[in-house]
Amino acid sequence: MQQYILRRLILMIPTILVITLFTFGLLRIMPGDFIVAQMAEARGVDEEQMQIWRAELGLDEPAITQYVKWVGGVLTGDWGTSFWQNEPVTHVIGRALPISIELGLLAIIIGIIISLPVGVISAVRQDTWLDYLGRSISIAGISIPNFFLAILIIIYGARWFGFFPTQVYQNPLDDPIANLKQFLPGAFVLGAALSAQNMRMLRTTMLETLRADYVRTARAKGLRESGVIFRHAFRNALIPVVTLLGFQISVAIGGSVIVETVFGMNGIGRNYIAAVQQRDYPLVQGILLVLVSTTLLTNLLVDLSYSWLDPRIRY
Amino acid sequence: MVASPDAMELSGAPAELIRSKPPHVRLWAFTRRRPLGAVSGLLCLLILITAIGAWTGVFVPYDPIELNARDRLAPIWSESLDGEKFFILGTDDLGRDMFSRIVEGAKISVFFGIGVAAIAVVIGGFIGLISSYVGGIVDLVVQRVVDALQTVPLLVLAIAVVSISGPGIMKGFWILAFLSIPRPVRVIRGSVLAVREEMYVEAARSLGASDMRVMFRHVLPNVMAPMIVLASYILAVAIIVEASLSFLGIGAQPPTPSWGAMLSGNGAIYFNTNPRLALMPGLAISIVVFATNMFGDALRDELDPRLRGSQ
Repeated sequence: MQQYILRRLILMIPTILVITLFTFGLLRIMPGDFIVAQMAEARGVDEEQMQIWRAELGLDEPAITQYVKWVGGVLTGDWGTSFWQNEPVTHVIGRALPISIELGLLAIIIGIIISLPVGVISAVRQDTWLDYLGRSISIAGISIPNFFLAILIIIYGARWFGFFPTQVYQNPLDDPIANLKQFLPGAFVLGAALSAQNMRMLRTTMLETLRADYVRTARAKGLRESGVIFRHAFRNALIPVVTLLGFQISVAIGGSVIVETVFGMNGIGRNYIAAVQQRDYPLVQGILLVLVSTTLLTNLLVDLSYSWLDPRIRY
Repeated sequence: MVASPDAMELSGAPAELIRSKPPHVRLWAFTRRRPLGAVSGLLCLLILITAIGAWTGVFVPYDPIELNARDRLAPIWSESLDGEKFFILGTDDLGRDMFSRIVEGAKISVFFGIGVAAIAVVIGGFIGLISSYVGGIVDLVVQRVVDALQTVPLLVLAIAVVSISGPGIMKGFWILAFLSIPRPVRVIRGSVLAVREEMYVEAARSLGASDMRVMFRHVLPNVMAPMIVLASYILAVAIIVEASLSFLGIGAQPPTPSWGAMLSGNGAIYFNTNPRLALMPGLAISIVVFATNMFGDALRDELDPRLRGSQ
């Protein structure tokens, strides 16, 4: 077990290197850089000044030297300084991360709350109009672009519920209600997409477990149908759904870029877009590093949870 | 003879195995089996016809970027002030005909999605086939790169690449096609590894068939089903990502009537007074992606032998 975890952790290193090298190379191959991006609206900037600025930021060195320096820095805890916010990257990320984590967690919870009843009903009432309705809802969940759903909330949330997105971060410890008011709409948008996947997975596995021998046995024992469904079929059907959660982290991250932009939340996603557009290399690299590590670690946790959920699996 | 198909059906063979039935009978059987699949298939067909119609200009009554200064924000189903034009879906804030813009947007979305899916599946499938067949160090390197690219959500990677290489729909197209390659590589590799051990592959090889022949004549046809399903999935994702990029302002640029751009640009300013400007393109994207996903699901159920009958 420990050996397995160690091997997986070591295997993460090449993956992280490939992805950071990919974006690092990309950011530097393309014409233009941070200085050019900053100077786009200025007039009369001479090349010499730009060179001085480049040297100050270390952009005049060969790309490979920059990359090696960056990797060395990350290993010693120095992730560099954001060009654009002129602040250590770790500070910027440290400020944005709690927002994105809360958004993602709320989204996953909402996704579960919506999907459980619909998934179970859809499977138990297979091929009835209830099933068709449930499946249509779940496919709609992954088909409606999250920016559209977010806009619908902005248009009709304001009309019907007087909801207006606030730009200032509401700390959950200071004012939990204001915090939830700020986060729930975005979490709902993300959660709708996540619930769709849960629902489909739950329906498929429920259909399988409902046909399993132990369910037939339970029925033959004369158990009530609700007992059969919830105590026998549902509990076993839940295993693959739990493992889906690992995948959801990455979906939540992708979606948070849009949701944070639309609702004006200053999380990782919104910082990422701004950093990319400003060519703020250290910040882009830092955020990608966080995203990739999060995904890889959750994947590992999910794989480990298999053996916990299903004792037959051992590593 | 004539009675044989029915006899087979009575003997318990699944209806879809009987290829001798005329198409309309099989279509009807499919509709009965999968009503949702049939409805979404019809919807997909209609969308495709609309897109082709937009391509040839048949369904685009007016120039989608032509301004009608006097007819700004005309309501749905109304005539222009001079009585010469008729706006089925009204006009936007610049007096451009919404119907023409939506139909033109269908052309962009649909062909963008189909193109991305086709390129990704063909190239990704090819790489996956070669990599899993050759094995060894090639396979290892390919798998590491694919793994790495899959740890970052497609939209996140696409935002970086597209915004750096500069906006524009064609750039976005090639970048998305490239970034969509890892998934087919993965899927086909898994399928090939399974199929490679099959008896018929061994039989072909023992008959002296070359690697190439085994790969393309025996292995490839047997992994087509998951690829077709995957193509429908990539198509749907590509449409959403294109719309998202355009929405963020780094995809298609105005005045190109891309649905995503219509939601963010002028649509955003008129949320409160004229929400329909945002609702129409948003609904259009949702309907297209919904139909594609639904049809893809039905195809998967139909093509995947493991799901057959147990659905």
